[in-house]
Amino acid sequence: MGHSRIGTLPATKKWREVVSLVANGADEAQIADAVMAAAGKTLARVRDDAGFREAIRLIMQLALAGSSRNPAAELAAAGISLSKNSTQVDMVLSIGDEYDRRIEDARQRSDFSEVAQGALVGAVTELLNKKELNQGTLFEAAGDDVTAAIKQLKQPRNFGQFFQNFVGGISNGLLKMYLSRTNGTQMGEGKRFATTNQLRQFESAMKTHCHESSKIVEKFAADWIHKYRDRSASGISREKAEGFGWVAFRKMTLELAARARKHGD
Amino acid sequence: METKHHIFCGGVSPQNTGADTTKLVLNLWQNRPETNVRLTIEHLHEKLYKTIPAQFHDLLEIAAYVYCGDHALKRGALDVQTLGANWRRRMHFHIPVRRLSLWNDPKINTVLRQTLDYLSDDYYDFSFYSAKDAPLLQDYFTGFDTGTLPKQKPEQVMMFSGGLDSLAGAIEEIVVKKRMVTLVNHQSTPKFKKLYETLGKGLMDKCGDMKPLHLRVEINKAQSLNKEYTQRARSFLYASLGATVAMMLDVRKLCFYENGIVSLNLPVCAQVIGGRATRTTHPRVLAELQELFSLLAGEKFTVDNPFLWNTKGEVVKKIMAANCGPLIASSRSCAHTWETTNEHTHCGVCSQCIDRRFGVVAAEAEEFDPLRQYAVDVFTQSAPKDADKIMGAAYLEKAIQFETAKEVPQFIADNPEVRRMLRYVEGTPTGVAGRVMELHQHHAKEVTGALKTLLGRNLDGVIKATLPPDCLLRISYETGSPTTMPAVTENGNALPTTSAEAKTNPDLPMPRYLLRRGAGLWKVIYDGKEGEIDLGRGISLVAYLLFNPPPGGLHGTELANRVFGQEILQEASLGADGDSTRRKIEKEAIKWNAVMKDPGASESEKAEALEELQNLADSLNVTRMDSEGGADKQVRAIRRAIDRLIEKLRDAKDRKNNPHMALRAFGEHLHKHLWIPSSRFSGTSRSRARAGVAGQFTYERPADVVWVE
Repeated sequence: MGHSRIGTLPATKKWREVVSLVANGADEAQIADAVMAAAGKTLARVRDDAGFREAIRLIMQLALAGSSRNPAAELAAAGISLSKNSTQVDMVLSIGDEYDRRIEDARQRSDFSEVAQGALVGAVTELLNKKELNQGTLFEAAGDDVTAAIKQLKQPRNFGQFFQNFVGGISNGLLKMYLSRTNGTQMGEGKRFATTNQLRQFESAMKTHCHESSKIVEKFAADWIHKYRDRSASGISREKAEGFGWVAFRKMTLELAARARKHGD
Repeated sequence: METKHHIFCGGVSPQNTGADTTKLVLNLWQNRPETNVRLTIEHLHEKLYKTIPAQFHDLLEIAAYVYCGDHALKRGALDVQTLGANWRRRMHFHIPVRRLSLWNDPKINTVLRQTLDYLSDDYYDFSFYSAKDAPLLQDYFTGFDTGTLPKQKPEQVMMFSGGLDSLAGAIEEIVVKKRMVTLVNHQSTPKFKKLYETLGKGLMDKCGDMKPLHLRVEINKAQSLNKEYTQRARSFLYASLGATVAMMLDVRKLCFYENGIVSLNLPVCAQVIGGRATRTTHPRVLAELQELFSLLAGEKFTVDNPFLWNTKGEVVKKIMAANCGPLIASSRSCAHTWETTNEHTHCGVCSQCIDRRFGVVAAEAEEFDPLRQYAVDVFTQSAPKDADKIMGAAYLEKAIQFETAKEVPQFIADNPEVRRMLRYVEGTPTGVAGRVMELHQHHAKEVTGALKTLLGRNLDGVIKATLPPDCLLRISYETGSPTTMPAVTENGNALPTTSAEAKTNPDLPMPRYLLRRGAGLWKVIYDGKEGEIDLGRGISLVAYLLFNPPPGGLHGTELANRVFGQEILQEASLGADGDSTRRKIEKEAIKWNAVMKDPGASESEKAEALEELQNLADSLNVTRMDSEGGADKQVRAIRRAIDRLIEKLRDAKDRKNNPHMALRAFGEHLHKHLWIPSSRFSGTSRSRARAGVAGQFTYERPADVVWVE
C-alpha cells in the first residue's frame, strides 16, 4: 500500500534553465547557483519558516548547554533529555522529538522545515561523531561522551564548525530536493548520467561543494556566538538568534552565487 | 496561510465559516436530501451480527467522512514554489455522533487529530454534535451470509488488500499456522472485483476446514467527490472498519501485513518529503490507532504489523514455502490503479510495481508473476513519463545507498525519517535503529541480487546497447566505456554535436536528423541542415511524438501529461484554486506585455517576453479547459500549440531574412507525418486527420528518417 508522490520541476524559464544546465553537463557550482536563483522568491519564505526558526532555537540551546556547568539541566529546560546512559541515537532522537513536538503543536510543517530538521540531525550527528572524543564507542556507550561532545560547543571555533555543518546540510538538502525532480530524467547512455553511479558521483560532488561553500559562515558563527553568548544572563534572545540564522543563510546563498561566477570566469 | 476547508457531515447545517474557507457537505445517512455517500459491508454471517458500542458506530462514520473528504478536497499544486504549503490541507470536520461527551474528551480528540495529521500530512480538526435520528449500524450491512458458520472463533481480524503482502499474511496465518481469522477487504474500485474474487477463491481452496470469514466493504460516493487521488488517509478507514468488525466478533486484535521496507517507506529521493511517502502502516500510525481504539474500547486493543521486520523478498518466499505460488498472479500491488487494465493489471513503473518485481525475482517466484501483466517491463523498457523515470532511478539508487550503510548514527543522519519510528517499536531506540538499518541492508542485497540475476539474462542487450539506454538494467550497469556525457563550455550552456564539433572531431559523425533540447532553444538537424527553434510547448509536444510515436495514437490529455508532467497538469487543474492561478497568470502577462511595449527594451528582451507570453497563453488555455472539464478543449489547445509551431516553421527565415531551408523542410515534414486530430476540433480541412482517432496524436516516421535525440 505504500507509494511515493514524485514530481518534476515547473516549466518556468528559470527552472527550464536548471534542467538545461543539468542536461548539458554544467558543473555543480553553476547548477547550485541556478537552482538558488530559480527558487529565489520561495527561499525568501525561509526567514519566517517555523522549522528554520525552531532549528536555530535548538542550536542556540545546544550552544548554551555547551558552556554551562550542567549541560543536562540546561538541555532539560529546553525539552531535550540527556542522561548518563544516553547514547548518540538517544541524543539525536531527543532533539528530533523536541523539534517535531514544537512544529506539530504549531501545526506549521513545511518542506523547508523537513530539510531543516534533516540538516540539524546531520550536524548533531557530526558533532557527536568527533573521533577524538569517543574513539568510535559512542553508539554503544554512554552519556559522558555525549556530554563531552556538547561541551565542545563552548569553544566558538567548534560552534562555528557545528553551525557550518548545519548550513551546509540545509543547502545540500534544498538542492537535492529540487534536483531530484530532474536528475532521474537525465539518466541513460547519451544523457548527463549514463548510470546511477555517475548520478551518485554528482550528488557527492554537490555535497562537497555545499560543505566548502558553507565555510563562509564558520567564522561568522564563531564570532557571533563569542560576542553574544555571555552578554546576557538570560541567554540569547530568540529574535536575535533568528536574525543571525537568516543572515547566515543569506551569506550561504550569496557564496553559492559567487562560486558559480568564479567557475564561469 | 492555506485555505481552510469545512466539511459538514451527516446533516450538520453549514455555518458561516469566514473568509478564505471552503465548504463541503457529506452525508452517508441514507434517504436524506443531501445523501452523497454510501457505505456497505457485505458477507457478514447473520448469526455474527451484534450490536457494538455506539462509539465504534461513530468511528465508522467519522472514518467514512474523513475518507470522502480526503478524496474530495484537492491538494494544491505548485509544490516547488510554495515549499509544500499547498500540499498540506487544513480540514475541519463537523460530524454528528452518538457519544458526544466521549468524542469531546480531549485525550480522544487529540489522538484522533494527531493520528490523521501524521498519516496524511494534513491538519485535521473536529467539531462534534449530538446526533439526532442517527441510523442503525445494521443499515450498513447488506447481504448477510446464511451458510455454515466457521467452527472456531477468529483470533484476529486481518486487513486483506489483495496485494502480495496481505496475501502472504493470510497464507501464513491460515494455511501455515492454522489460525482462524477474519479477512476485511475494502474495495476502492470495482475495476478489480473479478481479480479479488479469483484471489479469494484460490485462497479459500488452500484453507481446508479453516476457511475464514471474508468481509467486503465498499464506499460509493458521488462522482463530484472524486478529485484527489493521493488518498493518504485511506488506512484510517481500513483500520476503523477492521476495528468495528473486531468489536462485533469479540476480538481485540487487528493486523496489517506489510513488509518493513514499505511500512517505513523511507523517502526514495529528496523531493519525497513528509506524507508524499505514504505512512499507511507506519509504526507511529499503528501505535496511535492502537491507542485510539483502546480508548474507545475501554480495554487493550492491539494493532500490529507482523511483517515489520521482513523484506518483500522474504514475504514472497513465505508464499512459495506454503506452496501457494500460483496465487501470486491474482494478487495486485500496483499503486497506479487508474493506469491498469484487465490485460495489464500492473503499470510496472510505480514504486509498488518495482518493489514487487524485485521481491519476486529475489524469491525466485517469477514463474508465478507473468511479465505480460505489467504494462512496462521497467528492467528492459523505458518508463514513459519523467516522474516514472525519476522513480525507477531513485529506487535503485536508494537501495545501493542502503547497502553501503555502516554506522547506525550515520544511517539516521542520511535517513532522518528513521528516528520518527524509534519510539513506537519495542526495544531501545538504539537497538531498534540497528534493526532498521539491517532490514534495509537486507532489502538492498535483495535488490542488487535480483539485478545481477536480470543482468545475467540480459547481458547481451546491455553490452550491445540494444536495450533502451534509460531502462533500469542499463542505468545500473557500469560498462567502463568512455563517458558519453555531453561536452560543456565553461558557462555550461554549450550544446554537443554541432556541425562544428563534428568537423573537428571525426569520431563524432553528425546525424542526418537530430532534435535536441539545449539551453534556451532546441537544436534541429533536418536532412543534414541545421536550425534552431525557440523553446515552447509546441516543440516539446512534437519532440515527444517524434521520439515516442505511439502506434495507435495518444490522446491529447495523456500526451500533455507525459510531456509537461504532473506539475503543469496540476497547476492547470487546480480546481478550487483555478481562479487564483488564472489571476497569477494574467498578472504575469501584464508584466511581459509591458516589456513588449517598452521602447527601451532590446530585441532579445522582447523575444523573451514574447516567448513567456506564448507560454502563459498556453497555461491559461489549459487552466480554463480543465476548469470547464473538457478533454476535447484540452486537445484543441495542444493542437493549437503544434499548429502554431508548424506554421512558424513553414515560414521560417534566417538572420538575413532569407527562407530558412532546414526549418521549412522540418515544418513540411511535420505537416505531412504528424497526425493530429482535426475533424472534430480544428474546424478546417486537414489532410493528415484521420477518422476514428479523435483526440489522438501520433507521428508516422518514414523509413528513411531516423531521429537522434
